[in-house]
Amino acid sequence: MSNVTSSQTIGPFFHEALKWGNAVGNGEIELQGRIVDGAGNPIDDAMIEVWANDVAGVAGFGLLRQPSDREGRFVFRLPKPNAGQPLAHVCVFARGCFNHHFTAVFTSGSDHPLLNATPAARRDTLIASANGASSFVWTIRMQGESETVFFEYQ
Amino acid sequence: MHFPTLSPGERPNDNHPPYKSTTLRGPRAERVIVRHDFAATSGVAVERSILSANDIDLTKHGASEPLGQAITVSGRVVDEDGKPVRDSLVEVWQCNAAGRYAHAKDDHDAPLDPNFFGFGKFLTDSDGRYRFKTIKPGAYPWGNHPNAWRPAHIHFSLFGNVYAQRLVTQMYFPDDPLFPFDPIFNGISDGAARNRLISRFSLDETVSGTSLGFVFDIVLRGRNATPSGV
Repeated sequence: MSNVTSSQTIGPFFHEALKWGNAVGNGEIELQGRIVDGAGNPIDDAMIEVWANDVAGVAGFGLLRQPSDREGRFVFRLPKPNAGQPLAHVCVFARGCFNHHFTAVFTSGSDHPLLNATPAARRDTLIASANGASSFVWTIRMQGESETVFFEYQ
Repeated sequence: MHFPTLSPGERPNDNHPPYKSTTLRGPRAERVIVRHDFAATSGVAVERSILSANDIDLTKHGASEPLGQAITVSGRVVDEDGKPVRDSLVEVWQCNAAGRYAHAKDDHDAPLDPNFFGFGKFLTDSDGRYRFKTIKPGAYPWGNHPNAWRPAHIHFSLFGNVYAQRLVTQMYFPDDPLFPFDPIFNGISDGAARNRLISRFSLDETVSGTSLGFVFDIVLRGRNATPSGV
């Protein structure tokens, strides 16, 4: 037993408090995301944080975040990742989620320790599909057959 | 730096049927365990310029004083070795004294307070300490089950010093009669871990004639942190 402070849900009422920090980014890659629940319905009150290289004018990793919209959608404009690196490290918060959930989003063909740690059958949940030259589509599924892989960092 | 595994009782179960929204939103698969440098990557770099003077005084956001019991909340943020988590961003939000959030989706039939919006942000100091002033939030009903009421709470969002320290939680107040009935508070099955979310009243932190003091210390995950600046 540790002495760590436990997590509680972000709840549905965070938007006003956190909007000062909302940012889409201005990179050349567009990530069109969507988050859905176990019935496939959009989650319209999630908050998605992404960490990527050289965003927000910050050298090294920087944070962007957006609440999901009524259709469960969110968009980020991310810098082109270095070879093999994820488009972004991602952290998901929502009402109904007691804990935040760490994941990551890659383009196909990536070779990365996070993908290698993921059972082969589930790796596709971390791969965004190309939608044109500089746009990618990715769905976060909280449950179901294609439940997105979430990581426990040790 | 590493992040020892939490015991099941101190991390709320992602699928906890008494909290109904977990039913379709709590992941069912086990988390994939990884050791990766990114976990210890320096967290969000916050320019002090984002902070404005009243971010630590939630009673100063309107034209005059809000209604309710004025309080201060203070504490220290440390890691699992007890080392201070310095200069790290904390965001807080809460409902007003009547139990109503200044939020479009809050349809609780309790009055809004034109002098209270209920959000703030600040950085911990070089010893991990923080302090802000606000009013004591009210309890409010919610639709989880018949006659469901949330115990009074303040939401906390902490970035820590590295990525894997991220935490969003809720701080509660001592002796709340609603504790036994709240499926969110009770989602933490370990009693000691649950009780760590309850602030304590402090006469030392109470400002004579002005505000009651509550203390909420926070332990973020992580051991063997690199000393900052090295």
